[in-house]
Parts: sequence; structure tokens; C-alpha cells
Amino acid sequence: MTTITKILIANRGEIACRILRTLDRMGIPGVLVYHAIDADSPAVKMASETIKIDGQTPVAAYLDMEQIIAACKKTQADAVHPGFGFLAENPEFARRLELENITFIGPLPETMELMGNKIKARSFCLENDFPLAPSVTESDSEEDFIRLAKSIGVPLLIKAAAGGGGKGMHIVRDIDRLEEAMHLAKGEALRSFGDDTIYAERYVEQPRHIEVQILADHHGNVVHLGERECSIQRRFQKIIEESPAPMLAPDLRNLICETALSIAMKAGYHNAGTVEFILAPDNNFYFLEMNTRIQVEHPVTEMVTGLDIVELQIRIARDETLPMRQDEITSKGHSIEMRLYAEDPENDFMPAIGQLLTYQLPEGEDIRVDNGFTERMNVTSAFDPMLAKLVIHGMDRKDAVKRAICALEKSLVLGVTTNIDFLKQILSHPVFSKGQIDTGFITRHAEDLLPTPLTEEQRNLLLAAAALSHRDFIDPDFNVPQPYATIGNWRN
Amino acid sequence: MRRRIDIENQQYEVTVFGRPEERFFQVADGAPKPVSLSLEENENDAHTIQIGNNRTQIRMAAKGEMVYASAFGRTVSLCIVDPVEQAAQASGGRGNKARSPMPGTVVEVNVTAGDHIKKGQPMMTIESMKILTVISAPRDGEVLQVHFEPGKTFDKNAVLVTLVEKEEL
Amino acid sequence: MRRIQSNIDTQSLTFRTNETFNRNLLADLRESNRKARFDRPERDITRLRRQKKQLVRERIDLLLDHGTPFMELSTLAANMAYDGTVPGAGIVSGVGIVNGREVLIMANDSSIKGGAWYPLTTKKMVRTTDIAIENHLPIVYLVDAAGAFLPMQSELFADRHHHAGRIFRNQCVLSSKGVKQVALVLGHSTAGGAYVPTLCDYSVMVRKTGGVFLGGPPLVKAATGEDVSADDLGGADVHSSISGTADYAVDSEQEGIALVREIVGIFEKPAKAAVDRREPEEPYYDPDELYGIIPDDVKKQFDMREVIARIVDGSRFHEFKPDYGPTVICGFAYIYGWKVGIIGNNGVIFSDSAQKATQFMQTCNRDRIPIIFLQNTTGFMVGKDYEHGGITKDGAKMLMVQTNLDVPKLTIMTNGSFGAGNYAMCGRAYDARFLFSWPNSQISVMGMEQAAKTLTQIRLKALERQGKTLSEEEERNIYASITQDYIEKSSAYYSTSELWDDGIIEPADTRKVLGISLSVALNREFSETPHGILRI
Repeated sequence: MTTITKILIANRGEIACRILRTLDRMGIPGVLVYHAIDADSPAVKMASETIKIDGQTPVAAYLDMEQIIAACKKTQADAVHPGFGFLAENPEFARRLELENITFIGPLPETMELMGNKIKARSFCLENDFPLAPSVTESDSEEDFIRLAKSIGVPLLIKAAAGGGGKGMHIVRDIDRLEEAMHLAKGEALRSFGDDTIYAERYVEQPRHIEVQILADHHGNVVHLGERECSIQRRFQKIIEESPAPMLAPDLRNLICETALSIAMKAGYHNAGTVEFILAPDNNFYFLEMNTRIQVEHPVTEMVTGLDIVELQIRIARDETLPMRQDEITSKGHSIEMRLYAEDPENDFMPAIGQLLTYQLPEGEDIRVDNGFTERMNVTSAFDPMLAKLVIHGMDRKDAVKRAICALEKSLVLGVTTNIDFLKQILSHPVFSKGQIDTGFITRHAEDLLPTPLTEEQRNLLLAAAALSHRDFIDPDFNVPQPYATIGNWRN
Repeated sequence: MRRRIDIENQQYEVTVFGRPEERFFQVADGAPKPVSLSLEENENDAHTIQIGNNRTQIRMAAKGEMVYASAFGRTVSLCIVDPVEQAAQASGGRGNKARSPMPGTVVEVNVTAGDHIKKGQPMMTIESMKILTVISAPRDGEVLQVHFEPGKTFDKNAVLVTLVEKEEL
Repeated sequence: MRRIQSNIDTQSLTFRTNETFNRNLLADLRESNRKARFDRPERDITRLRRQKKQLVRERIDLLLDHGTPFMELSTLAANMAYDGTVPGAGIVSGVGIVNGREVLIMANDSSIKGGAWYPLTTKKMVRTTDIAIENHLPIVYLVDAAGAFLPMQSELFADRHHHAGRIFRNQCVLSSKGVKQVALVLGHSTAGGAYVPTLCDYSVMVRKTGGVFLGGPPLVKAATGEDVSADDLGGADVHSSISGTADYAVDSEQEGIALVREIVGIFEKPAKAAVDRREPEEPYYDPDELYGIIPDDVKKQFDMREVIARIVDGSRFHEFKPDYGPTVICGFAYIYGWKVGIIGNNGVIFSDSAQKATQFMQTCNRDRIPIIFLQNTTGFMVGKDYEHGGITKDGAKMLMVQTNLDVPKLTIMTNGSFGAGNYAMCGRAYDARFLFSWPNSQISVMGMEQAAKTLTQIRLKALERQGKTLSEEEERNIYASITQDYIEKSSAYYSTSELWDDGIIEPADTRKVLGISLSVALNREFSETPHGILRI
């Protein structure tokens, strides 16, 4: 048994809060590292112990292994939960912790290296006959890469080898733009993951993004917690996820889950992870990548299975046996998660900043809100623009969708532009309610998802309300004096 | 008082005049209409706005020149434009300033004061929430000043690079 | 307060004849105004557009608050001078509202001779700055002038009054009195003119078009051989960053105007002098009826009460001492809510009417009531009985009290203004805050026929002494030419051309004009010396 007496959370925002909640429930003390810019965040307020970290940029601080390890030593934390992003899939970090005798709550560094490197992961699948889409990886010869990529043909997807989350991903539909896409992808990859290696693979049109949650202990037990559908994406950023996947035949579902399980087992996986697949319209599915960490959208799985994945992660890290068998894992009802982003859908979804002047999110039975912000906090461009996750549970999909729309209607965020209206449009769309979704949904229905235009009357009411609440308009100092006001627009 | 208000990427000249008990609202040169804004005594902090016979409930929050409003089932941002800013934007634009499309950080600077550049030439790379964008020259010309160095952050619409004034033809 | 009972029959022949006559005059006035304001040679407009300049009235429209009035002064200055080539004397002045504040605007019209200063230009500028001093009214200058019109420099340079030096002197006086001045330099401001923006409290310059220098590039080149561009010599950046002669540099006229508005918005709103005020009320009788009331001949009489009824609130008028001295009307009324005293002529002024007016003016002065003079008089009565009765003495008393009044005075020339009557009833020399003329009005030292007959006799006698006799026809021709000249020089158009008034107004606008003038006048506090009323 590995003892864990205190866990340091090397993360921030809503996931830090969420992890702290489980620690609290489990009675395990937690420590939170934080950058000054997060000083007012709910996570920092929740944590009973905090350590300040610094860096050239806020992101750099959370990527600074030395500071984090120093923080562990200072606070006598003997385990680290890395959350997702930042150092969560950094094998070097995992190794450093190992050297310091600090438990890394996640898989082994070797597994991370295997699965974390997209190219190695793909080779692994290829060797083991797991389903894969045709692809080409970088070699010494850029010419060869380009030639092979061209031979796969368009549409082609360029991806970063070292990480996911949509960073460094570019679809090439016109083969002449291949090099431009490569250049951009490499740049982004270097910025986000410190590694500019890319690969290219056949892009499946209208694919569904289906992923399977895996848990594996250190005693050879591996289970899956069912699948999630994450097809509602924009530029490879997930917006809405749900579990179970709609309109998925039970046999296919089982096959996908079993395949995920096999992959995890073959890779000798430990702790929590997710195997992602592309499901083509012809029901072929291909391995996309494996994420060797807990994922943003894990709540939907928790809502339908009733399990706490973070808790299970900790227990696995403590060397416990998984407390349930595969056949004991059930899925009840339907769960939908909506990611609330600070972005301006009307300005090409540019990230929005500002102060959360009003920030009211719904509460209730079957509503879970994983929140990284509170009212009056500032949303800055330092981190990615996710404000919170609204996770809904319903008896079935129809019920969940209805509750989700209701929850959005009860949400009010003023001061920063958000995608709340956009989410409402998606959830209300007839094609979405039928469940006929794929990753092209948003592009295909872009017109339908535009906000309902304001009528002239409505627009005038808004203009008037804004004017009457703004000093420039109503300050009596600028009133036109008499008799000029009565005389009005007169020239002699 | 009359000001420009921007809403949904459109601009409107709005005038409000009269006394607090009797106010009038006018868009551009349209007919002025009686208008009132009242705060409801409820837990919602909702206002009621009424123009003539049209009214609706509305929730608002304001900061500086921005007003964020929620009504008709959606949220809308309105920007009350200061006239000096408005005039400066209209005249100062003219292809002499490259502005940032969003808040972010400078990643890489490719030009320096005195450089002669061609239209479309990359001058700077910026990053916002891990998305990279290239800022290109709006026209042929000469760089007057680069206003931010790598690592510095800036706001939306900040002037990133100024070009030497071009003689009007 | 009782309402005036009007006795006008709008259907009568007289009314309709008058109306035709006056509406023709109105049409002429509107056309003259239009031409003076907008008719310009094509090439001048093209030149301005090429220089990326706006026209003066475009600038003023941007400057003023939306939906507010602009009372322009002396639009027709110089209309009968310089062969009519310098309409408005090349400068626009008027009262308007900027960011809720009353201001005077003085703007060069560079579409006229490049905005050059003629003698009447400087006179108009002196008058405008005098108005600012007398009423404590802030000024916004829109400067865009080529400089003095050199061929006429002897008429605009060296004298004490009406000449250019007085403008800058007035600016300095304004400054010391705390009356704000802002300048926007949208063109050149050369030589003495360079002082206009520099003496202001705030000076904004537009890049590339604005230039302030004591000597422009040609002069500098001629004087020292130095070759320098206008911008490098005295452009916006030079003066706002290097010399400190200006305070702000902007990239466009629009930005400059927006900035001037912001500056004016910072000024405090002065408290008005305390005078009695109540809720305003529109006149009961239609001001348009004035066109049927004003006669088509200056010799014909009309009842001034009918005019008052179409100017004041609710047409209400409390007439003072109605049965005594009936040829002068005195009484109280309200205009846009402000209480005023009104003194109007109903004919020749006799001793009793002069005395009544004098007593009334004392009351108004003691009780802080501004006075409005409505002129229509041939002057004081002449003749032995009247001289023996002391008419000259009584006229002097009226003049003495009128001149020394502390309360603000406003004058309207409604018809005739002849001889000493002009003086006693607060003519131009007597410091009315504003003085306006109706288009039908006439002004001269004596009535035209009298004067023409007298002058003709003098001419004939002179010719006789030379041994010449003239036929009847030749006599008639002399009379006609003298008359012609006289008519011209006693017309409202001549008066306004020479700036003997602050503009010709449409009679139906009199109420608005007086309302604005009152509002302006009350910006300066006036203190009264307490005194008892002499029943003169």
C-alpha cells in the first residue's frame, strides 16, 4: 500500500475546485499551488493550504516543475494530482516526482511516453492490430513527409504529436495549403507542448468523436466506465459532451468499449485514462489518441455511473484494488455537459476578457456546476477561456436536453461575453435533439446557430436601457438649458 | 445628450433629452419617443425599460463604456463610444496603425523602427489563450514604432505597430 | 396678468396688403441670407475640398449639440460693401449650445477670400468679443484665416475701436474676467491673427492644415531667405510638442471638434443673474400675424401693443400708466418665463411720454427687471409749445436714466428709428446687450423726405450762388438721386452691413431671439444701486 497523507494539486480553476471537493469528502488534506493572478479564485479560497508560484507568464508558473516539487517538499505533500493540461501528461515530471518519492496520481511515465506521443501510440496500435486511420509521421525528410501526406490525399488532418486539445490541429482540404498548415501546426505545437513534431492522417468526414473512460489499478484490473460522445466541437475544441452516446447500437458500443479496454490493457495502463476514437458514418471506428489523465468532460461519466473518478484515481494511486468489477458498473439516465466559455460567438469566437459583473449559474437537483470563477473576478487572457462546466442529468436524453436548456435559461453572465446563447441554440436545434450529431455539426448548421436577430423594437429597447443607465446620457450637467431646449432645432 | 452606441457590430447615434420625470429617446434622426427605465423591487435586480408602449424586463451590468444586457432570451453587449475616441478612430485608422484583434501576449516581433515593409508582410506574432495569430502590415510603408516587446500583454484594439504617416495623394 | 385684447382683423384689406408687402420682404431676407451663407464660387469650394477642409457651417453643425438652436449674428454684415464679395464679412458668429453650455461661436469662413480679414471683419470680431465681455459668454473660435486683407490695412489696423488690435485686447480682458475661450485651428492663423488662438485658454490644432505663425512661409522667405514649410514652421506638432503655443494636436477636424466639445463640457455652468422667473407659456396670438400688422410704409402707424401681444408669454401684458403719455407704451410681461419691462413707441415722443418712460425705467432698474425697447419713432416732438414745455430737458432725463441703467437692455428696430428717438430708446450707442432689426426698418438722423427736401434746398441754393438755375426736371433729378442714396443708407440692409445692429431677424422670430438674448444677458451678474423712484 502506498500511503498518501497530503495531496498537492498542480492545477487551477474548476478542476482544482473539483479535486479539492473529493479530497474534502475523503478527509485527505490538500495543498494548492497558485499564481498571483488566481489569488481571488474559488479554488484558492477553498484550499486550506496554498503555496504561491511564479513565472514569466502565469502559464509558465504552472509548468514549472521545480517550483511545484519545492512546494511539495515545503508542505510535506506526498502526492501530486496534476489535473489535466499543464504537467498532467509530462513523463519527465512524473519521473522527477518518483525520484523525490512523491506519488504521481496518474499512469506510469513509460505509459505516458507511449500514449502521450501520438506517433508512438499510433505505431503501438498498428503493431497490435488496433483500428487506425491511415497516417504518416515525420521523418528526417520533410520532402518524404509531404509526399506521403499527399498520397493519403485530402482531406488531411495535421496534428501535434505531443498533445491534444485542438492545439496544433489543422484540416487540409486543398493540397496546396499543406505546407502552410504544417507551418502553423508546428508553431502552435511548440508553444503549447514544447514539441513541434507533427503527423498527418486521413481526415474522416462527418466523424463522431466517441471516447471511453478507462480505470486501471496496479493489480491488473482494468475496467471501462462507458463511452462519451464529444462530437459537438468547434475548431477541435469540445463544447458539449454527453454520456451515453446517442444513437449508438449496443453491439457497436460494446465493441468500441471492449477495444478501448484491450488497448489500455495491452499498454499496461494504470490509473484513469481515456481512449478516443473516430466513428465514421460507415460504422468503422479508428483509434484517435489516448489521453493519459483525467479529462475535462469526466463529469458526464460520473453523473451516469454514480462514481467519483478522482476518488478512484487516488485509491488506485494508494495501491488499492478497484472496488468494483466491470459488471457492477451501470449507466443510469443521460448526462450532458456544457462548457461555458468566455468568448464572443459574434466575433469569430475570439476569447473575451472582462470582469464578471454578474455571474449567476443555476443550482438544483441533477445540476452539477464545476466552476472556476466567482462574481466580480476578472477573466484574463492568461489561461484558456473556460469559465465553468454545467453538467446535467436526466432520465433520458430528451429529459437531459430539456433540463440543460432550462439550466442555460437560468444562467446569467454579464461583463464578459460568453457562449451561453450559442449553447442554447445548439441544444434547441432539431438535429441535435434527434441525436444525429458528428464533429461537423457546428460548421454545417452555422447559420441556424446564429443568434436570433433582434427586431428594431428590441434593439431600441436595449439602446434606450443602456443609454438611460449611463452617465454620459443622463448627467443633468449636459442638459440643454432653457429656452434653448424648448426652441429646439432652429436657425435664424 | 447624444452619443454613438455600438451593438452587434452596428453603430447608432442615440439621443436622450428631457428631465428625469420626462425623458425622450431618439435614434439617429427618428421621432423622439417618451422613455423610462425603472428598477423593480424583486430579488432579480431586473429593470423595466419602456419606450412609448413597448416595454420589457432587462438585466444589466455596466463597466466603463460597456453595458452588458440580458433580455429577449439572450445577452447583448453595448458599447457607448466617447466622441473624441470615435473621431480619433475614424481619422487615425487610415492604415497607419495595426491594432490587436483580441487581448493577448506578444510572442515574436519581426520588424523594427525604420524597416520598410510590404503589404501583408508579417510584423508580429501574438498569442491569446494558446492560439497564435500573425499581425501583418496593412499596406506598403515604413515602420515608425513597435509598441510591445515579446512577453508583454495588451488589450483588444491596442495599437501594436504604427507606420510612418503616408502623404495623402 | 391680463391678456392683451387684439384688435387686428386678419381679413381686412390693410392686413392683407401689409402681409403681401412683408412676406415679400421676408422672402428677400431669406434669399439674401441664403446667398450670404451658401453661394460661393465653385473654385473656392473645390479648393477647400482639396485641402480636406469642411465648410464653416459644416463645422458649426458638428460643434453644436444635436437638436439645439443657433442664433446667428450679423449674417449680412458687409452685404453693401466691397461690391458684395465678402458676405458676412467672411466670418460667422452666433450663440449656440455646446455640451449643454451657452457659447459664442466665431468661425472664419475660408471659402470667402481664404478667410481674409476686411475692415468689417475686424469690426464684427470686435463686436463679437464685446458681446462676450458684456455677457460673460465663453467663446469658441474656429480659426481658418488667410490674414489681413492688405490693400485695406489702413482701415483695420491702427485705430482704437473696430480695428484688429481691439480684438486681442478684448481677448485679454475676457481672460482676466474668467470668461473661457477655446480655439480650434483648422487653417492658418497668421500675423496678428496668430494671437487669436494663443490668447485662448485652450488651443487645439489640426495636423497638416492648422498653422500658427507670426509670419508665414512666404514672408519668412522674403524677410530672411529661410525656406520652411508651413507645417515645420508652425504646425500642430510644432506648437503642441515643441513651443507650447498650442495645447493639443489632432488628426482631423472631426477629432478637433469632438475635443473642443469635451473641453467646453469641462467648464462650469455659471449661475444666472437672479431675476424673477415663472413657468413659460406660448403667446396667445400667432406671431405670424405680425406680417399683417407691420405697415407697408414707414409713415403709417400701428399699435405697438399688437406687436407685444405676439412676442410675450400668453400675450399677457401689464401696462403701466396707460392713460398718461400714450405715445410710449410701458409695461411688464414675461418672455420664456423671465419677467421683463417693455418700452415701445406708438408715435412721436412727447414730454409726458418721455417722463413716463423715465419713471418706468427707474422701477425696472430698482427691481432688477431687464428692459426690452421696441423702437418705432420719428423722434421727439418739435415746436414752440413743446420747447417751452421742456421737451429737450425731458428727453435728456430719459436719456440720462436709460444710459445709466444697471439692468440688461435689449433693442428691436421694428420700423422707424429716427433722430434722438433712436438714442433715448437705447440705440446702438447705448450698450444694448443685443440689437436686432426687422427687415422693413429704417434708421437715420431724420425722416427721408424731410432730409431729402433739406438737402435739395441746400444744393439748389449753392448752385444759385454760382449763377445756375435749374429746370423742374433737373430739380426732380437731384431730389431723386439724394432720395435714392438716402433710402439705401437708411435701410436695414445698410445698417446691418455696417454692423449697426446684430442682424436682421424675421419678425415672427422676435420671441425666440429675445428669449435667447435674455438667457445670454443673464450670464453676467448685474448689481443695482438702490434708489427711490422719482416721479419725474
